[in-house]
Amino acid sequence: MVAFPPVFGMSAAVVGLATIVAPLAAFLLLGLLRPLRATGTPAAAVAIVAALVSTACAFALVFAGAPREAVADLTVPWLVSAGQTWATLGVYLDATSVPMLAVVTLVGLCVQVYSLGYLHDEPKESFGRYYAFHSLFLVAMLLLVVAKDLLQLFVGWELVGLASYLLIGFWWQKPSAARAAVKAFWLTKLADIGLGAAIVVLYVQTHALDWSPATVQALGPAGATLVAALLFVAVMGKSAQFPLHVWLPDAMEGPTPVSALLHAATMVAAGVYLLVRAWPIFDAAPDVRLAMAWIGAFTGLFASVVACAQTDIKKVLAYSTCAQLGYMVAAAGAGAIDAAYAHLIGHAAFKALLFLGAGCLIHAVHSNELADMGGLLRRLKFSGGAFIVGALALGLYPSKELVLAGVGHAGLQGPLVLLLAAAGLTAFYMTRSVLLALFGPASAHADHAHEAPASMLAPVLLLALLSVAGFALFDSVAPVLVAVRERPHSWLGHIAHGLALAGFAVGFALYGPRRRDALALPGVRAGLAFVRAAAVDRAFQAAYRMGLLAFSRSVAWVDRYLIDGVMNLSAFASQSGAERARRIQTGKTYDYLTAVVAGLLLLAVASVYAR
Amino acid sequence: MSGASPFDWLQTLQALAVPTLLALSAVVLLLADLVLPADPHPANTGPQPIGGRRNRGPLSFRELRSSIAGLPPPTTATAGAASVSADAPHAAVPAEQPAPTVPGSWRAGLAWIAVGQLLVTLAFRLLAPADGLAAGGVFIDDAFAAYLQVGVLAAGLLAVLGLRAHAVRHFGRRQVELYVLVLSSLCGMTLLAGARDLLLLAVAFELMGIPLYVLASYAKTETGLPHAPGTLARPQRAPAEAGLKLYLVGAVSAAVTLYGLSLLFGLTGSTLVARLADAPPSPLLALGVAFVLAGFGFKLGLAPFHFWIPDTYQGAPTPVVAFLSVAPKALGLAALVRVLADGLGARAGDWLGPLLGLAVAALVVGNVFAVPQQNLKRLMGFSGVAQMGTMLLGVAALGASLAGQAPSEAAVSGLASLLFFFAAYLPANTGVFLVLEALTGPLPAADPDTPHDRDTLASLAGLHRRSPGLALAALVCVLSLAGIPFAVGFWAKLWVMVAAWQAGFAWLVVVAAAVSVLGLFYYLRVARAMYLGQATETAPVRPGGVLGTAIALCALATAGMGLWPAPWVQWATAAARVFLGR
Repeated sequence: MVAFPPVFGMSAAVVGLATIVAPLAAFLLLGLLRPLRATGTPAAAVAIVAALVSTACAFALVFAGAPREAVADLTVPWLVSAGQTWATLGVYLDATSVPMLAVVTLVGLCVQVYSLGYLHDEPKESFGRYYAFHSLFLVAMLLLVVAKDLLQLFVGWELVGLASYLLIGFWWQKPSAARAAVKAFWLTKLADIGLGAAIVVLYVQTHALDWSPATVQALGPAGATLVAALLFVAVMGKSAQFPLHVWLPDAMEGPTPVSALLHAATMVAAGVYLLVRAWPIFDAAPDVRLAMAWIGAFTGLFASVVACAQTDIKKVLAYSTCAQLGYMVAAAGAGAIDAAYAHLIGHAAFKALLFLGAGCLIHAVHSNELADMGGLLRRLKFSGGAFIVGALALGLYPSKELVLAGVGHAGLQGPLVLLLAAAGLTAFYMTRSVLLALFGPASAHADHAHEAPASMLAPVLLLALLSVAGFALFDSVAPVLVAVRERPHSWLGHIAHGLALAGFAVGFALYGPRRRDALALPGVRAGLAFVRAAAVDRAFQAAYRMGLLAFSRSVAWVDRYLIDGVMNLSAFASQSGAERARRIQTGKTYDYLTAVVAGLLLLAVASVYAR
Repeated sequence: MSGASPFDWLQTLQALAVPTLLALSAVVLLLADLVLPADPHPANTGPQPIGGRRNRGPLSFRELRSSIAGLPPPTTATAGAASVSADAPHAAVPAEQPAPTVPGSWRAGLAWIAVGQLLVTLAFRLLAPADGLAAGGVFIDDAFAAYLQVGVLAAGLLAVLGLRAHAVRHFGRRQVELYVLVLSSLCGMTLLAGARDLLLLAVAFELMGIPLYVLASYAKTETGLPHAPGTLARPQRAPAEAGLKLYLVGAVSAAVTLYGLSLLFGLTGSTLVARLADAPPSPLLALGVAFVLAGFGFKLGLAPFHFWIPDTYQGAPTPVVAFLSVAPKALGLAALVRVLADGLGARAGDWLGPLLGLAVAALVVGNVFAVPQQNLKRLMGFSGVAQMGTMLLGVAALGASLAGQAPSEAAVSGLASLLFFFAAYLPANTGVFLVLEALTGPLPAADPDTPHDRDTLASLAGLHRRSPGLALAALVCVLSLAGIPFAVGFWAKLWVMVAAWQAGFAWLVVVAAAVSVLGLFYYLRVARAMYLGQATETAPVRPGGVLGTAIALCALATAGMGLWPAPWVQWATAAARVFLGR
């Protein structure tokens, strides 16, 4: 095992621990000290300083110049029994966890700074609450990232779900937000059953909870397939893969910065991160990987198609997130885990940029609807420009070629075709959004639009620069973060670029200066009706009503009348029995002494006869 | 043990350092109380303490009794002063004097000496190596003894912290003896932890028990309460009753134990526990061990030796109960384990039947009787019986393994789970009683004849609104006692049950799990009262700094051990391995 070089003159693991402890301290301060939370901006400052410390530590780790095999392990036994350790708790740094640390902390920091401006109209108390939740989210996500075994990862995973629920429902007074929060919570919880079951199966089979090659060996091929399949169910829920993606568009009810943080850059990536982290298990399960490739590719195409028909700018981005996560899952399915990881990191940067840019537009017109925007570039040159940069990155980002090359190498023609089509559609719907929101005739709101405050523009600028830098320096930066091979200059790359350009062109033709209603084109409406998101939603609702509710009712009946009946009966019996029995507690000491003597005699007789 | 010199003074002193330190501490405290001048406000003297009569010759029994029970001493010289002060306490205080409202409260500082002594002893115990034999093997200072000593010292510390406010408020000048008694009892406990000799076992049991009888009978006095002129301030009757019941049942049990020990001595010709294995198998041996078991049954509060528990808990001062309900039980278990493992060894199997019977009886009786209780102290008493029954599962696993009826890992796992269970039980149980003390301790003994109606579940109602912190602390403790997952009580129960399962007592585990459901019911009733009950009072409960610290320590320890049980598990496992020599 190669040791991690020291950072800031300290052991790397301690620095890794600091990335978690800083937001944890902020969360505890804001959570426990109500007066501090109620101060508003100072409360936010506490959280932001903590995020800043966290980010600095994470980037110091990235630039520590550690060799790829370096590992820093600061874990302590958590649950132990007489002989063995079940689970550990602590910080485990290696080439997989360190880049993710940097992504999570940086996006978290950007979003927290951005929220200063975006939410400045909130009451002070709920402003503080927002930052407390944000810090909790960072703690949870980092706990997940540095986990050495599945149990700590599970703890982080569930806490992330909780933080997501709290932040989606931040405007809980809005019924739609409250509903969306509950929906996201339940759907991901449903998928989390897979993770819980995977942990149980893994433990029963191997008496270990990690993903080391030794564990995979002990698991055997059949066990690996089962565990990988169960883990993938959880991934589908968290990373919004078809058909468990329905919670993600609704989650856009949360404040836009929340969407940027959780539902674009970090939380939804947790599923893909699990794929990367527990890769040895997936590697040993080719059947599951085949299913992953198909599901990922299908999600990529499906979500791209749906995104073309959205009128809400955040929903466009939400579906586009689904699609990009599909790319990552498909790459993992094809065995190109490095491509998946590279795409995860790149996507985090430019999707956060897109969301924060969209947030500036929304902030200016006080509406999510594309129809209320239009012609905004004249007034919002900076945010509009940033949004365009993000859109271009989404359409052309180089890591996409890695994904396509990986899928192509694996010989998966079907998923490859789906993903190529999705690449063209991505360029199309982004062009559509850009043209509808930023160009064309100005809407009524656009006249009063004004640029966002500096606290919002600074993070946008930073992310835009990062996206551009990532774009330009991809071939030299990517190998530092991820173990990618050189970008293959194959025909696949050219086709993808060609399709993307075609998508831009079609989008420009339809929504450019001579704008036409795409829906009026022959066949489009019928095609869209077929794949409407609502169709899946409706299927879920029907399944919910007819399947789950009916099942619940029958269970409830059994519970109420059979189980509760037995329980009530036994409760009644034991209570009345106890009432009667307590009469032997007379309060008279000689009765007590009699009992002692009786017990003594019984013991003596039993002892003599038991021999 | 070196053959040449069976009695090595230095070695003995080293091994007995902790009990010796505690005994010295008790003496120092007593001396400090004697040397200190009497209360500067003579009108506020209240009942005379034992130490306050230093020039008056030996105490008569009546004096002793009235001193303990808070009655004015009957001797003429002091009776006049005392009854004057009792008749008209306010009239006797000069108006300009900023007299403390309670007599003797300036002596409360002595509690800090006791705390310091306990901290020093605890630090010594944690730092000093635990390996040594005293007096040629009569006492052993090993990791097992050290583990238990740390536990009881912590319990003693919590007891002193919990007692302080109560003592200042209600016990006047009698408060210093309180700490002396706690220290003496601790001295007996720490001796018991390493006793390997039947005689030392018996003596240590008494040294532990007798101070507890006195502690349990401490009564609140009604100083400052208005009462009819010309009548004496009457103390509560309940504590006297509590102490007397504890004493009578304890005396009978001690007699039974001693009789059993004499039988064993007669059979083996030695008082060493380890020689028990040499005794020829005979009905007398069985009888002797049965008598000893019965004695331990009293200390542990196992059914049917448990009848004193609810009455004593209800009547005794709550902080005393917090101490009484944990530490002696752990030592009872330790003595049982000594006799089983050190003494009977491979023949432990003969007593598995009676042990299992005791376990089932304790589980069923404790859980069933706790269900209808309305008084929280009685509820905790019965539930404690059930908890002891659960701990016996670990003893059974140990015994079965020693007898060769179960795999040898079951011995380590049984003993370690037992030790861990004790560590989990200690702060949670103490915490509940201390919260109750914060709630009802400050109240005066309003009516001497019916003083118990304050410790009911109803008095907890709405505590969550009155004092969220206290309610949260109590909730943490209660959840742990009920064994809710991720509370330390859950890990403890799980481990004990796994050990019993490994040892082949699946049926016992099923019984224990089934009656634990009842436990869930009555423990959650406490939580429901605090969080969902309608408060009759709205004034916040303020436990004060010292008691608050003790409660916070209990809750933090319970929560912390639940979230991170690993170090404690490892500690308990190490102690068990050392004890079993594996």
